[in-house]
Amino acid sequence: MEELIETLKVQIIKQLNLEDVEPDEIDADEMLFDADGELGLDSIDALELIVLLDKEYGIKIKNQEEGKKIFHSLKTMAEFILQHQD
Amino acid sequence: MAERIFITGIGIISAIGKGVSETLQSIKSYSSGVGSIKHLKTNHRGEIPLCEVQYSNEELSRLAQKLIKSTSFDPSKESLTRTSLLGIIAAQEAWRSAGSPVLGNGRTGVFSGNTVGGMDLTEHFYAEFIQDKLAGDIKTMLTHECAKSTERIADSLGATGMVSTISTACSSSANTIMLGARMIKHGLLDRAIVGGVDALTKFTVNGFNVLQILDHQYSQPFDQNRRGLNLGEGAGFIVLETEKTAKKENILAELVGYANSNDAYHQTASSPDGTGAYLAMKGAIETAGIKPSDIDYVNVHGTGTLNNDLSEGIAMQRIFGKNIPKFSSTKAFTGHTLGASGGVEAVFSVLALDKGIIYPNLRFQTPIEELGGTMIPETELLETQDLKYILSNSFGFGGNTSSLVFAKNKA
Amino acid sequence: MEKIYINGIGNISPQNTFDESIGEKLVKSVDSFFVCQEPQYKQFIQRKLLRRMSRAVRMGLAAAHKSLKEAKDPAIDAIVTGTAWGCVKDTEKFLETIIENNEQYLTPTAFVQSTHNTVAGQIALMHHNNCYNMSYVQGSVSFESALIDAILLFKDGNTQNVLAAGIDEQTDQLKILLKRLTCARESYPMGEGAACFVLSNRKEEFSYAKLAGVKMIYRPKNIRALENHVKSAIDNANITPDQVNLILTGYAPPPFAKSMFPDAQLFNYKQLCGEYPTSTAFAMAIGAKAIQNDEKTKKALGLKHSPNNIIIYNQAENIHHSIIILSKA
Repeated sequence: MEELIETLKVQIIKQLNLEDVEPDEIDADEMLFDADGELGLDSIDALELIVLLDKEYGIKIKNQEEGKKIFHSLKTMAEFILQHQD
Repeated sequence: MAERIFITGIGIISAIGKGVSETLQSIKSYSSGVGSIKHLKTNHRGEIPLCEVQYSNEELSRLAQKLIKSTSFDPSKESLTRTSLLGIIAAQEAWRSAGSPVLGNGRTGVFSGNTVGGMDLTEHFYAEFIQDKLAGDIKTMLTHECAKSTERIADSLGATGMVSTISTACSSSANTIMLGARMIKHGLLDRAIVGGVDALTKFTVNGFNVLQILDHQYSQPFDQNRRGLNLGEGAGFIVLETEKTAKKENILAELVGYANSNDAYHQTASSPDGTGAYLAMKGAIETAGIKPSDIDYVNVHGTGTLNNDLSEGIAMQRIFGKNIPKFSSTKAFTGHTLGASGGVEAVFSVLALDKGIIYPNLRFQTPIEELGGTMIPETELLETQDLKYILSNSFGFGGNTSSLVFAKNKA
Repeated sequence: MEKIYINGIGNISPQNTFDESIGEKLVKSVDSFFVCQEPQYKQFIQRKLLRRMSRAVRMGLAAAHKSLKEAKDPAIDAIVTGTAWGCVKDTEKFLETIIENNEQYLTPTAFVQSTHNTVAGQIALMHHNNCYNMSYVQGSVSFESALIDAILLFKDGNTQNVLAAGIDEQTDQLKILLKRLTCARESYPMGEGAACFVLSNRKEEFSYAKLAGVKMIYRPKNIRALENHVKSAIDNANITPDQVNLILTGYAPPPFAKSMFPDAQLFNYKQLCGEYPTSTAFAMAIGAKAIQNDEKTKKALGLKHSPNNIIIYNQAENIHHSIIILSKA
């Protein structure tokens, strides 16, 4: 789990082009989509994360509502991946 | 200054037919253009339905050649993009229906809107180019820019006035209609051939697909259970003329109102209160010098996405209150023709006024709950309607929102 | 012609034009291309927005910011832009992933940012502007189309200030394509740039110049026809040919220069910015500064006196010709 979270941090920074963000700066429990938060991700980023899950982990998410729960934080994302990987 | 703007010609090509009469026939038989992919070379064949124009590029090229009488432009001598071909065919029809006026005196403008220009050829060239930087027919790139199809349309008509292209995503061609009207109003042109065109490409299909706003079934605009939009292709052009040059027998309708605004909310999504859409409709009705209650029918943008239809519905409620006029989305017939949609739907609006008809919103079943469950589009073709004013909406990425008001010809 | 003043300029170009006037030290092209000198964008754009923006968008937003600041941040009634090539980088990026990943694992951001109205839309978004918003994409007259729309807006009434911009970006792939098309040569370098203007119907003490006319000419039959268009444009601007002191133009002198404006000085502005479709926006920026008697600009253009009237002339392949007329404010 810890390892997966660290990998995810790097992958997310790359996928979302978070130029000035270092992996250590993202907290595993931090809300990713808080508009006033440090990262301030939005609906287009959610789609980028859907692409990331498909590309890196072979997991397909068809609907954005489902995505919202999964992408709550790095931790929820990692849990989801662990549950759905073959 | 208070120059009236008459519409003297219309031309259209889309998935439901080539030309006005085929289009009307499809509408009268409730026959939608959505279906499985036949022409576009994409891996999504079989998985995503599209509204393709039924002709191949070769067939379109032959059709275009038959239409062009210009001595300076021979379409058989150059490779034309699907965008140019569709545009030429619809613009030629519009010009003919306006009585084939001679356009060479510099007083006729040609303004066309599109979103991806010659991408239909570029994407094939590019596949070779990224393998080998020296490969592929480099001349393809000369047909790539959005402006190129507009120039080919102008050349096919022999028009020598101002030629320009607008690209504001899905409101592009509504905006060219507005530009033509304003140029005429200020005496800078006597006539303008305005509208737009877009051809289906892998680029757009994949773009909308990755945004997860494509319906993998047949779209259901303004329905509670809508799932997204069906992409389409085509072209729609109308001829605008001053009172001076318009021949009485050619006048089909009048353009009386227009406005463009910006939602300034998000690059792709519409605002929850429909600010941009509201301002565009309000502006267009004000320019027309009428009241919202004077509008008899709204040809809505109605793409069938969760976001658009809700936001547009809210904006309509803000404008019209409880007395929502009759409305429908013709995109259930043609698909969303993107840069062409404002032109295609302008043709629909003019036809509706001229023939006294209102279009059915195909496949509608359940009204949207968040809109109070009362916004029910027309589901049957209505004939012998006494229509005076029609509002047409076109909204695009980048928050671009435009509305036009067409009036029945009173001349 | 309405009275329209240029009240603010933001000019990102291959020369040092953003923070100050074009300098004495002029940059030359490298390997047939000019590349823009870009500012630090973080001072204008939040970093969480910046990460998505290609150079075209960044340059457009920064140029807009600068022009607004110079005009003392007036309320803007419309935003009009011109770009022929559009957001090339994002278009390439999306197209390449479609091809390389076989229509899978695509990035929505590149698609969303590839639309030609991204710059105008982002300016509206950043400045919370719900007003008229238009993007023209007509090759070498894209910027002129935007200016004509601005003039129409002033004619329509209810408009005091319009933001007008011309933006085109180069990319590595585009450079290869332009070389293959033999558009870019050592003797004829290509370039890029973003220039933004606040146009206003109010003359201010800081107004640079007056925008006295814009004309687009499509496929003129012959030189005589072109001359007639130029004549009608200067008539419309209420000036006579002998009042034109300077013609800013490309490598070839305008075919009407000797016959109509024998006394006007000619200057090839493309030797400073390279050839690109909206290069006339760069010319308008330096022209307006020259009219305002900016010493550095005058020196760079080899001018002894500040000109009273300037014609900017451009043409591409004898399809589109355009002139922009600037006069003293």
